[in-house]
Order: sequence, then structure tokens, then C-alpha cells
Amino acid sequence: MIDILVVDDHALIRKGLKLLLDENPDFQVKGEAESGMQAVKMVREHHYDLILLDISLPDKHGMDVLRQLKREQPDIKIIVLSMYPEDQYGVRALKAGALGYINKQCATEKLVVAIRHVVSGKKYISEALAEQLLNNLIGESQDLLHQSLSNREYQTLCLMSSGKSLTEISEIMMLSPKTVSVYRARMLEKMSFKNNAEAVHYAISHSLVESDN
Amino acid sequence: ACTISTSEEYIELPDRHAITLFRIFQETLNNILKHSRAKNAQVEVVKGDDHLEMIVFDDGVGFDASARNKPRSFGLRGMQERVEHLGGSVKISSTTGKGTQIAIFIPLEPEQSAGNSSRNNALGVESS
Repeated sequence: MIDILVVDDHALIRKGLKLLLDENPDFQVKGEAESGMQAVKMVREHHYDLILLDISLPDKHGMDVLRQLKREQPDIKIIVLSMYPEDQYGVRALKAGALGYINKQCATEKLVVAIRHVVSGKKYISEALAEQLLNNLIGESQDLLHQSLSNREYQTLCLMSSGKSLTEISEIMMLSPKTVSVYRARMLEKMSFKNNAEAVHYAISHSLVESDN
Repeated sequence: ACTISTSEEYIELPDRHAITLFRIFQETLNNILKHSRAKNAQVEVVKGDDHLEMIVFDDGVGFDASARNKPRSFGLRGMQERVEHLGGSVKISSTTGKGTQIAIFIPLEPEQSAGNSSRNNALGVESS
């Protein structure tokens, strides 16, 4: 028997999910929570094989609930079920530890498949999410360039690209200009840029700089 | 949590500098422990060709200028004096409620090639 906890603030959704899931003889909706706090509390008190978690909850953001549940029980199995399309929360939910992400528009059968998949220890990825992951992967080589920077190197790049001088940057960061030049040199090296202009061009074309106007 | 990052694996310094930095490092961590109520602290050491900067920052309660200048608070002043002795400077930026950053800047002799320094030693040149 697969014990399931449904977390959703809408009673209709909870009842509907319960009806649908209970049609499967080996599924049992053992608990229902209407808020994030309630879900956290229930998971502390009972064991569930699977948690169906909504993103928009009245008290806490679903993603925070997800992180908290994972922190308290790292091997807990969670599928995020949300009305948001995959491209908004899909990848983030998986990164935060969910084993599946399902859009509420999906067919019932898919939900059942996903639950079985996840309970058996695998991850479930819908076609839409797979496509998005693939896009991320292909675009990654570019993104990785500035993701390898430390916070301060990144900050240096952004400030530089918004037209700040070395001295101004050092005043903003409250450091000596010499240290800022070290950051700049490391940033250029990590990103294999030859000069500041290339760095500024990169920052602007990747919208790392917010324009003041 | 406290994390440490350095610009180079191994940074070699004259003893005087190393001791000063160590004392200041102790002092800052002490301050963080005693006063800041911070959850996280980060220490960063950045070495350039002719300088070194140690940056210690935390996400604690911070403090304002009046607390810094209390007649009985010796820690920060001591820190300042030690650093000035080496020709460096201390920058303290703190906002109440938003944590504190302390940046210790110390000038260094420009890096010499190995040949140069060993010749100095051979000639018995002493730096006073």
C-alpha cells in the first residue's frame, strides 16, 4: 500500500485527488493538509510514502515547504503538483529535491504513472519538463561562464559593466582598489576575456547589468 | 557557519605581517562570537602583487559608530594600530541589523624573483 499525503489549500482539489487516487487499489490517501505548516507537522508525526505538494499555499510558499521537508527527512518522496507551467517551477522544484513535477493540467493517468515511478525510487519528468531541462543543458555552456565566479568577482563584473570606475567599485564594496583589481583579473581569467571591454560586452548581452534609467 | 577562501592556496608572508594578521583574525572572530549574534561569517584573503587584504564579514546585528568609539573598547583600536604599524589600513563598514565587514589592507613588498631575494641573503642584507 502506498500512503499518500495531499497538500493543497483547495478542498475540492484534495477531495478530487483522493477520489482519483483511491481508485487504484494500492494507493491510499492517508492524509490531507491545507497549509504548509500543517503538512510539515503531519510529516513529522506520520510516515507517508509520497507527498503531493502544491506550490501556492496560504501560509508558506510551496518551494519553502519542499525545502523544509527535505531538510527534515532527506529521503522523503515529493511530487510537486502545481497549476504553474513547468518552465516556472519545474527545474527549481527538482533542484530543491522534488522527485517529480506535474502541471495540474495533466491527465490523471500521468499522475498515477508519476506516483508509481517516484515511489519505486525513480524521478518523474514530464515531456514539457524534459524539453526545458534539455534547453537548460544546451544553453549551459554559456551560463556556466559567469556562474563560476565568486560573489565578489561577479559583483565586480556587474559594477564594472554599469560604468563604475575601479575606485567607485572599491568604495561600494568597501575594499581597497587593489583588491578589486585582483577580483577583476581573476574574473577576466576565469572567463577567458582579454580585456574589460569583452567582459562588459558579455555582461550586457547576458543582461547582468540593470540599467539605471 | 564560517567559511574561508583565499586567492592562493598558500600565501607566504613576512613573520611580522603573518602575526599581525593572525592576531587581527582572532580579534575579529572573537568580536563576531561575543557581539554579533551572526549565523554566518566569511573570511576572505586576497593577495595582489604588492598588497594583501583580509576581509571578514558576518550577517550579525552590526554596530554603529558610537559603539566603536566607546572609551573602553580596545579591540578595534588595537587592530587599527597594529595594521597602521605595517603601513596598512582598516575599513570597517557596519550597518545596524545588517552585519559587519572588516577589511584589513596591508601593503607588501612587490614580489621579487627568487634570485633577487637569495642574493640579498647571501650579502647579509638586513632589513631593519
